[in-house]
Amino acid sequence: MRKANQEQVYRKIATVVGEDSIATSRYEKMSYSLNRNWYSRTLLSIKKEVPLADFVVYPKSTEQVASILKIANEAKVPVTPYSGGSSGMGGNVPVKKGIVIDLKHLNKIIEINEHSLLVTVQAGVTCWQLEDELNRRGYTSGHIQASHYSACIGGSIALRAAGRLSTGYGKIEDMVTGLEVVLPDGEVLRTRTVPRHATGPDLNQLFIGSEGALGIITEATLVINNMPEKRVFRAVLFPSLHSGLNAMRRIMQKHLRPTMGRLYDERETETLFKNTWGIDEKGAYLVFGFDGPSAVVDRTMEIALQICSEEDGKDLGSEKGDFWWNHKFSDYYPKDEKDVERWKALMGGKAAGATIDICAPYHKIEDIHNDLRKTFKEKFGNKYKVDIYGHLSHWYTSGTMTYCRWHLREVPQDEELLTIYREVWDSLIQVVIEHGAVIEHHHGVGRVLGRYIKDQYGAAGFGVLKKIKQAIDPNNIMNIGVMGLGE
Amino acid sequence: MELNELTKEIEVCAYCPLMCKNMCCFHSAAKNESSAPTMKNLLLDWSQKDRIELKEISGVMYQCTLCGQCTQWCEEKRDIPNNMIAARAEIVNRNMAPAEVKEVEQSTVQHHNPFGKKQGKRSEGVSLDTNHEASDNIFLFVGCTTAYYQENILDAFGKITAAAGVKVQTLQEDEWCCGLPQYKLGLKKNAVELAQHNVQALSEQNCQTLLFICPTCYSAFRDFYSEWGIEMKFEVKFISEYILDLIDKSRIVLNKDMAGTLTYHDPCALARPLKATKNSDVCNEGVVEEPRDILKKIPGVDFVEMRWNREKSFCCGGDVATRLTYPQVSAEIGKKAIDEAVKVEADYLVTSCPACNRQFIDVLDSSEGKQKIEVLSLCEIVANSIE
Repeated sequence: MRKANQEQVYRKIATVVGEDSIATSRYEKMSYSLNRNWYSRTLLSIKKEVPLADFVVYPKSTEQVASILKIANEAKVPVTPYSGGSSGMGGNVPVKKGIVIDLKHLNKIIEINEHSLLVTVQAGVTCWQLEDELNRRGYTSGHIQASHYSACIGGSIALRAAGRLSTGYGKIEDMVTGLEVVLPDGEVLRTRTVPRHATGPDLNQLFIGSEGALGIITEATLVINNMPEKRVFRAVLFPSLHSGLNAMRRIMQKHLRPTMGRLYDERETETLFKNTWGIDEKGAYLVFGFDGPSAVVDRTMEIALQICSEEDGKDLGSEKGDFWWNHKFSDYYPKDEKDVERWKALMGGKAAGATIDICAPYHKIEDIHNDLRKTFKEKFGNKYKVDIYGHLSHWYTSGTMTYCRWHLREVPQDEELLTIYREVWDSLIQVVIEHGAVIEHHHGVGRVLGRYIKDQYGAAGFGVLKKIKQAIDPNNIMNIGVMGLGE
Repeated sequence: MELNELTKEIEVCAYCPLMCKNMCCFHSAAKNESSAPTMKNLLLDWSQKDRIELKEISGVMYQCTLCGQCTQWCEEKRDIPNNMIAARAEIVNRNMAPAEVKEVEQSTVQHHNPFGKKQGKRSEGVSLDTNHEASDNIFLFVGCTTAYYQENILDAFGKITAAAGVKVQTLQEDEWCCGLPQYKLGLKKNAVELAQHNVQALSEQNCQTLLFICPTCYSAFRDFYSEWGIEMKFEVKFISEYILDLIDKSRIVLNKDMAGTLTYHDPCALARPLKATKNSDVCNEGVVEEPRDILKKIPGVDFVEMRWNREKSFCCGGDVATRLTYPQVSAEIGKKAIDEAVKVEADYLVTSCPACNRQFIDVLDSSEGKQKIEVLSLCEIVANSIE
């Protein structure tokens, strides 16, 4: 933003929110750019400038968000919406400077309708805050993300997030029944809260996953659930990923509705068993579970275990299954110096690594998983120390998701590191595109994968997306660059 | 510990993906990204690597009540408050501290308390020293907040000791601040001087048992003084243990009906006291059951727990540092803690810390608890329930 324009916009916004609701210090702006995104932290570590916003604004109501957007739109100032800051896809890094709008002050749980099982919340309510409030009253959102303690509902919706129990309770897009969205010109759109409709395209679904490129989600109504009478988890060891995948496909297609299923490939199983239990066990390890009335859960588990047995799965019992649930966030805590070094290397530019979560039908998913691993190792294994492994989780009747973690060690600690990232993404995404799958399942596309969206949708599909963007945000102020839009 | 000895500890938190963010009372109230525990550590980490000036982030290091909630939620139990205290000490050493910290330092030197209040006799005008019989040399450490802002707690304690017929003495004008508020602000030199004075004064009076109304003072004596190289020959006891003993021995009888629903707020310094050092072998277990045991004996009350209690109790935001440096955030934290009591439909919100008590009373009318909740200290509700 030009200085004169910046000062004018600042003054106007200050009349809306007050000067004490605007941050301009360098360290505060850095905090917004550095959050969980490897890209900006890598920039910092290789001593490159990190993109900083001109200022950060903290609105306290939908009306204030609307006024801020109106001012920004008239002045054609870039806007980056922000809430929990847990995204790793770079969608909330203010690369075009301008204004960061932090929505965390919009943090009221407005209404819990216990008759229709609906909750209406503001965008800045954290996933933990919502779940905690629901649990007090005997309900659950069923939406337990890995970033449960920091992610906000607004961000989850904007990125089409999935929780750990999405197989049973759905992804966030399955939970949203109504939205309040502030459009770039400051107009406020509210959809009606209904379970389903046949009145044209679904406006909720237009804004779910829009990553702040079409407006700012300020409020949402979500379906909630009674706390289950019984919750169980089970672990099964299969001889191969192939047999485990067959078992989970059959369980899903028999409509047994597990809450979750996490099938680790042979490489991740080996690591997991060694690190967690100190044993050398080989195969593909599955954890899955059911929620519901006791009698139903017992019977469905019985049927599911029968299917596992038919696919040569060895039942390891409920203890290892419960262990997964009770330690579902443990992986994210650096435990010892070795762990710290791993995180530091990754976030501090001494290594490269990320995850890729690909969704595809059952007849493609195994090939995609194997090809991702093969391509990565072939292309980068001769230059760097590499590793790639993963698991399949988030199951549907027709397909599932593969979640691969890739690492490169002993990488150059300069600008070339950014090139390496680009090359890895290019190679892996090419595999996905060639298989006809989609490049993201639940993290959003952000700026990391934005440039591939055209390849995924094709010219016609991407053209539609661009026209939608142009129609809703003609001045191109909203989160420029996410999903490859507006650049 | 010195800041440069904590590099690894700071890095662990800096590279952890925000797992305690939502549990940080300061961040939950202020909502700015720099106040999240991870971000404070990341900024500190980068300042140690000369990528950002420590002076630039000196204010951020005070965006923490040192309540220890982050440690409770961290699966690895990382001691983030310790990192903040070390950072503050370095900030003070390098003369970069916020003006409020300097004022505390000045007040400590001049008046021996952090509030700029004239010293005076700390238990003057209360009924504490009357109507007693000879007993062991039991002293009460009054504490600055009680002495200057919460004298009613002292009155209530006086009523309890009078009813029990026991003699409890105080150091009067010879009692100085316990030093822990200064230590937490990075003023360790002042803290140690205060501690040395207190222990010397108590020893000269042949104190055998020292009672505490304030959990911060109690934690200072119990957990920190020996780490600061100060030896004590007297026993330290929190007031709840003493009162429970009086009840159990029928020295006082709780016989007045207090009809209503009562909930108890665990003070951070009592439920999850800070560790004196990273490798401290000082016992710093919390005191959580005794206050409850007392409250459950109050006639006519229905005791209910708040959703988050004991080691995971919400912070009240009323610590000296936060009240001084970020008063608005401090008040917001207090209101959120009161909301928790409103959610369980409590008539009485009882706490055993004068700082929490003061904070709750100050913010009550701007909170959801207005005209719904009465804030009382443990001593007050006990005194009120004695006919």
